[in-house]
Amino acid sequence: MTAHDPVVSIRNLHKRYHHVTALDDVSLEISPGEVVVLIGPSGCGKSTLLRCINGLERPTSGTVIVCGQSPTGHDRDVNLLRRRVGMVFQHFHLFPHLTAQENVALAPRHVLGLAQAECEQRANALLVKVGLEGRGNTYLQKLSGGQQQRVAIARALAMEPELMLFDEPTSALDPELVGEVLSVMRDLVRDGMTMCVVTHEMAFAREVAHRVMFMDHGRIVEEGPPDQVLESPREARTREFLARVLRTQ
Amino acid sequence: MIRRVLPVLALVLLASVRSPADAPLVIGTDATYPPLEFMEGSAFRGFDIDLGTAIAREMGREPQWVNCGFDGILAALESGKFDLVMSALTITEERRRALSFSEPYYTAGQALACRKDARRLETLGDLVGKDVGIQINTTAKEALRKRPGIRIREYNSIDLALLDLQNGNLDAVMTDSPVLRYMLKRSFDDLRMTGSLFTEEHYGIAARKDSSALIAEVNAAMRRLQDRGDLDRLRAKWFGDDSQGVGRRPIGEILRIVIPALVRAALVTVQLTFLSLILGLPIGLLMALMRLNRHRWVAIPATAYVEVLRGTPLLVQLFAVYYVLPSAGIQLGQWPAALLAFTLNSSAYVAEIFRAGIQSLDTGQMEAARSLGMSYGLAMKLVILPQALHRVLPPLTNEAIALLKDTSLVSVIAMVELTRQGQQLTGALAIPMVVWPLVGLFYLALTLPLTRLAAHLERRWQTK
Repeated sequence: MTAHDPVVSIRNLHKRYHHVTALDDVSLEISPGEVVVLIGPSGCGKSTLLRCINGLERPTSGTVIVCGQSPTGHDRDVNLLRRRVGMVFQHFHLFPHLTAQENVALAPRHVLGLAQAECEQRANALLVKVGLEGRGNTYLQKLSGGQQQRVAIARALAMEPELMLFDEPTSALDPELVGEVLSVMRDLVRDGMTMCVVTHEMAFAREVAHRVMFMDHGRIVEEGPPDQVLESPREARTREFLARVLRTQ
Repeated sequence: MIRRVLPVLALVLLASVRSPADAPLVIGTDATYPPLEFMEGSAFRGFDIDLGTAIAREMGREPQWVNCGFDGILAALESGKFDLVMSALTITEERRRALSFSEPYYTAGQALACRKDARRLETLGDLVGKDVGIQINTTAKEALRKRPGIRIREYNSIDLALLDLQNGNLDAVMTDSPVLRYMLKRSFDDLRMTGSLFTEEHYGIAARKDSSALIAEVNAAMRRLQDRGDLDRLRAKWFGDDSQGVGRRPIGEILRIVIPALVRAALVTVQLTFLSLILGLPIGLLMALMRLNRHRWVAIPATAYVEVLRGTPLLVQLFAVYYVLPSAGIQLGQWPAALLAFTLNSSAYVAEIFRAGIQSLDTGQMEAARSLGMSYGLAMKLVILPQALHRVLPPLTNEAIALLKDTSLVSVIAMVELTRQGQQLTGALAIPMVVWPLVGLFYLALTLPLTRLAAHLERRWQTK
């Protein structure tokens, strides 16, 4: 794998649950340093696509290659691959029995086997980076949703991933807390992180995305630069969706 | 040649089968039947006890008395837990088919008690349509069955039947005459004995069918005691009009007997509960993790384990471990058997508690852990189990309390814990109204700290 090989390469991906088709012949590539934003109505398959990238879902057919490896192989190989792919969830899924710092330091300590002191140092530095300096010893109940999501981003970054997946990272937040999370994500874009983001924040998409993909009924309907997809979409379904989303925003 | 070898061989075999003469003679008894057998503190007392001890010494053996509930006592004899049973056991044709009996050593009869204010009940005919209490599996049942229409109600011990009669829930109680006389004299002021004896019953000492040599020795010893007049002296001591040990005792003296006995019994209850819980926890955790495993060949055996142990009564499991395993060649003592049954049983419940605790966690916890590169096992250890442990604490406390109270079941395998001790004490002292509230207080004193501890831990974890 060279610097120019795609970080994610998906070919003809299908995912079916019993009789429901979640993904229908999806192909997609993400280059190093690229920021791809997935938009679309709920149930269109964007989250499923994201989860296929780090092996939380297994494709029914098609190939997925991430960082030169398949996330559908042997458990041990998938575990190794996941070290290189960070994921941020809609509902944070932080570990409530641990402090903020312990959440961030847990995987470097036990998965990478780094020294405790080094892990704590790394956790503290990342908490500073996401604007939570000095909050390391706090338990999560004492943190707001926005702060919790920033801890979750720090937790994913602690593994020094090559790719970050964001699954509607601001959907569960009160409106006034969305900004602080987006600002942390903006910093990541500036650092050159490769990112795949599922979101309904159209302004954010327009600002940071290199490419926007509109999905509907398990298919990628339209993709292109944000200005083109968001300002003058070619497809009628994209226009309908955008009209609905922008009216509510 | 063959003719000379065979007797020698038979002798060798006989010698190896017979217990060595210096081994104790193990005698089973249900010590809730004064004045024949009862407990005073930790000492066995009563006519059967004195006679059995004299017979054993006459045979040159040391007697070792084992207390056992009457409903399990013959099963225990047959599975080899004792050499003899001596427990006011009436010789009947039915019992003769399964056991060998000594010569009769005492003749009793079934007698009837009713309330003093009630109409006198004299004959079986008077009892038709009435409720009559008896002790479970005793010969009173056969006497009453001769006349159809009598409603028989069976109790675990005779003092409970008498208490129920005194409370007005029964019309009469039928039991062996010496026992009835003793109990009424001791503490049932509102009851009286009516009429004459309904049967003539002979008490005998029972052994297994194949122990005819032992029975012959017992008979010989008994004849020597009879010839020396010892047997008559014992009869006078326990059944004579001024028989000792019969009569009221001051409450202080009673408590001095009751309290230490209950403390000793409570210790057994506590040890059994905690040992089986501590052993059951890791087994239960393992079974829970196996049931949650995605491989069916791992999950199915664990599911079967849990379902069998949860779906059958603990009492049946105890019976199986103590009385049935010996027939498969596995002979366990009381403690190992009780511990095994309780550990298996509690592990099944613990498994379900852990499984529910783990499944109650958001699946996102596992996904978040896995997406950080943790293996399934590591995610379990670092993320899932620490959280599940907090959630299972309240149901585990419930299980500990339930287990503690369930230990009362071990009386069926002749272990003396709190409830069984209560039965023995009420039997011996005939003061159920003092003993049972005390037993209840002892249980409460054991369970209350448990619930307080659990509440304390929950509060501490909550504040995190």
